[in-house]
Amino acid sequence: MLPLKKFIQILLFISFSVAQGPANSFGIGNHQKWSSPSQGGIGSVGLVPSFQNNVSLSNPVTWSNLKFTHLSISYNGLESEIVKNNTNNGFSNLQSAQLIIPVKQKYAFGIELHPYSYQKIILSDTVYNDIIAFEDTVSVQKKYEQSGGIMALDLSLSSSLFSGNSIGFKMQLLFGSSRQNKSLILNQIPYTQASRLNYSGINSTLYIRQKINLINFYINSSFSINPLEAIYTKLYPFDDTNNNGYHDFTYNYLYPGYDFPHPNDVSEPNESRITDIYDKSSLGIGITRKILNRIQLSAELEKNTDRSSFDIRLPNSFNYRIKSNDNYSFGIIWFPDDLSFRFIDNFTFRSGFLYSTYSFDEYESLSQKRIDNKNDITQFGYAIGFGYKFKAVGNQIDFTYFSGSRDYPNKYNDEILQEFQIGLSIADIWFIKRRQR
Amino acid sequence: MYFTRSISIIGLSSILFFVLNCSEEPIQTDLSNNSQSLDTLSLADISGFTYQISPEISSYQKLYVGNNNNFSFPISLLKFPSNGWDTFLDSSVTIDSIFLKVYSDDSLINSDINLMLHFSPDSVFSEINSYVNQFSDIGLSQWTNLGIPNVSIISDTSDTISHFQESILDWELSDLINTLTDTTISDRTFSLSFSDNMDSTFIELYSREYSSGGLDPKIEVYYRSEQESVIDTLTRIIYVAEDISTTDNPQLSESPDSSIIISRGRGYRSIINIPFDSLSLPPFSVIRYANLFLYQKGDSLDSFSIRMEPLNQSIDSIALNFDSDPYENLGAHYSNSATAEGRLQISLKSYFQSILMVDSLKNVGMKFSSSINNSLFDSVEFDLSNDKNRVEILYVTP
Repeated sequence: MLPLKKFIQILLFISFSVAQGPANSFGIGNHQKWSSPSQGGIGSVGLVPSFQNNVSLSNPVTWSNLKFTHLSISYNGLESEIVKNNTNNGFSNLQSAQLIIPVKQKYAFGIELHPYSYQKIILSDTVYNDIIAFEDTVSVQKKYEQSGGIMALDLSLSSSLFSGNSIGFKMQLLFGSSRQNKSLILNQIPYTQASRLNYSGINSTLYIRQKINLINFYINSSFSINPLEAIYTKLYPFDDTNNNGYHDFTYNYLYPGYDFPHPNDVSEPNESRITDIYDKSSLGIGITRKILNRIQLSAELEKNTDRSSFDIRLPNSFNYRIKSNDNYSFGIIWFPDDLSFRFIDNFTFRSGFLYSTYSFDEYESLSQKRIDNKNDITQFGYAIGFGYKFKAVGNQIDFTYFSGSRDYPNKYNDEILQEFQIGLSIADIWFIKRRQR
Repeated sequence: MYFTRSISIIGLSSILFFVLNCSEEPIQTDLSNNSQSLDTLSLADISGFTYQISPEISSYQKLYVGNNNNFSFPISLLKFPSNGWDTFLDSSVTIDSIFLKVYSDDSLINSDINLMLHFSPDSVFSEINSYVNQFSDIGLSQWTNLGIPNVSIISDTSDTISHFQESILDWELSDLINTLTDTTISDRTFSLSFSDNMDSTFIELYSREYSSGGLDPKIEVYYRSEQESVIDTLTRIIYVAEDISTTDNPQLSESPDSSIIISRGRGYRSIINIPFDSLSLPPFSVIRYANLFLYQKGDSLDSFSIRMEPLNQSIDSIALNFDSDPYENLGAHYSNSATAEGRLQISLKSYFQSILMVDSLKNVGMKFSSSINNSLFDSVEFDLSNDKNRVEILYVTP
C-alpha cells in the first residue's frame, strides 16, 4: 500500500486548486459545507455521528467515543453546471486535514485545517455594443476574476461531564487571502483594477450532547469572537496588455506589448482595514435514534445568520451577500459491527437528504443601504456513501457522492452540483500506557 | 488486505481523475454593476512659441563648407589629438611624407577646388562647449596657409563596371612636420574654407560622427625606422579628435505669429502648451491613447522626425535666443514621431498618464525639437491657428 507519508504529500501537492460556482462570488464566498466524506454522506451539518458509531469528525463532544487517535485527511471534487448558460466547471481540493486525540475515553482534543469559504470565480459579460471613439471602433467586454479564499484552523476540546452528557468547545481561527481582478476589456486588452483581501477572524462554537432515553440530542451554537476583517489592498489600475492578469513588465508574443503604466511608475497600493465583514451567529440542533442496533436515523437543523455590516468597499462582483442560511438534513447510516469478523460487517453505508435556503441582500447605491432580496436561493440534494474499516485500530476509508441543484432566483435558473469526496483516517494508540515487557 | 489495497488505489485514482477533470469556464452574467467605463476627451486649446538655440554643430555627420539652401558655413574645423606624435622624436625615425585627408561622397569635385587648408597650434574650439556665434571673428590670416588639396577618386573596380566609392581630398603637410611633431604643442587645429565666399561654392565632407575610422578626417604619416641597420617602412594614422562646421546663423527676432517652427540647422525649437493637468481625468483613469495632432503650414514636408520632451520646469524669460537650451527636459516620457500627410501625430500617453499619477509632476509644457536624423537644411512649420489641431484622449475610468 502507498505509504501514508507519500499519500499526504500527494494530497498537499494537488490541494488548494481552483473552485468555480456563482455562490463563490456572494459575500465572502461559498462556505464549505462538509469537512469529511462521512459527514457529507448523510448531508449532515456536522452534529450527529456519521464517521463511526457515536462519532462525528465535526462534533468534538463525540470524540471521546473514539478508542484511538485519528489522523484524517479528505479530498473532494465538485462539478458545477449552469444549465441556462451551458457552463460547466470542475474543481478539486483538500477538504480537510484533522488530528483527533481522545484521552481516556473522557476527554478529547482536536486540531483541523480546512477551507472555510471558496472565492474562486470567473464572470464574463460580453453583451455590449461596440463603441465609436473618435474614429476608432472599440469592442467592449467586462470580466471579474477572483481567486483564493478563507482557511480555518479549528482547535477543539471536549469532555464528558456525566453519563450521557458531553460538552465541547471549538475555537476557529480564520485566515487567508483572495485576489480580485475587475476588468473592462477593450479591443481584447483588459483595463484591470486589481485588489487583495487578507482576512483574519475568530469564531467559536459551543457543543452539547445529551442522551435522553434512546434519543441523542446534539446542540451547537456559534458566534464570532472577532468578526472577520480584512486588509484591503487596492492597486493602481492598468492596461493588462500582455493578458497575464498581473501588473508586470514582461512581453508576451501572443499578446504583444507591455502593461501600461509601467509597474514602477504607479503610486503605492492603497491599503485600508475593512472590519465586520462576516459576523457569524448560528444555532444547530440534531437528533439521532438507533433502530435495529446498527442503523441510525438522524435529523438536523442549522440556522446561520451574518450580522455584519458588510462594507460597500468590498470588491464584490454581484454586490450580493448571503445574510442568512438554513440547513435541514435527514440521514440514515448502517454502522459496522465491531464484534463481527465478517467482511461485509466492516462497511458503513450512508445516505441522506439536504435542503438549504439562502437569503441574500444587495447594496443599493441610490439609498446607500443594503436591501434584502425577497427571493431566496434554494438548494436540494441527496448523498450516498460508504466507508470501509480495516485493521484492528479502526482505520477507515470513506467515499461519498452528492448530487443536488441550486436555484438562483432571476439569475441562473439552475445550478446542478455533483460532488465526490474521499477520506482516509489512520488510527493509532496515543496516551495509553503500554504494558512493560 | 487485498480489498484494502484495492480500495485505496481506487481512492487515489479518483483524486487524480478529479484533478485532471478540473475546468474553468467563465460564467456569463450581467456585470453592469461594474462601473468601469470608456470615455474620451478632446483638447483644442493648443498654444506655443518658437525659440532658438545655437545649433548643435558638433553632432553633424557631415562637415560643410560654403553656401547651400540659405545656409552659410564659412569654416569647418578639425582638431587632432596631442598624443601619438612622440614616436617621431626618436632619432632613428625619418618622416618621408605626411598628409591630411578628408573624404566626400561627391563624385564631381573639381580637381582645382578652391578649398583652403589652414593650420593653427591653438585650441580654437571645443566640440562640447563651443557655440556658433564664437566663430564670427576667426582670423585665418594668422594661420598657416597650406593651400588647396589634391583630389582623387576611389572606385570599386571588382566588377566590370567601376563604382564610385568616395572622393579623397589630401594636403601635403611636409612644411608642418616640425610643428606637428613638437610635443610641447598641445593643440593642432586645421580649418577648411573657400578662399572666395561665392554663393555657389559648397562641399560636404564626412565628419568623424559619420562612421568609425575609415572615412574620418585623418593625418597619415609615412616614415622609416632604422633599428640596428634594419630599416622598417611604416605608416601611422592619426584620426581627428574633434570636428565642427561653423555657420552664420541669423538670430530669430520674434516668434512667428500663430505658428511654430522646428529646424535642426537653425536651432529652432518650440514649446507647446496643452491645458491638461491631474484633474483633467477622473482619479485612477488609465489612458488608452493620447495623440496630439498638429497641422503643418504651407507646403508640407513628410518624414520630418520630431522629438517631444516634457519640460522639468518653465523659465521666466521673454528671450528667444540662447546659446544652450534653457528649457530643462524632464528626462522621461518623451516620444518621437514624423510628419505625414501634412500633419504631425505624436503620442502624449505616457506623459499625461504620469501627470495623473504623480502629484509632484506638473504640466509646464513640452519641448518639440528636430531629430538628429533630419537634414540640417529641412524645417517644418506648424499652424497653431488651424482648427484641426487637437489632442485626442481615450481613457478608462474605474
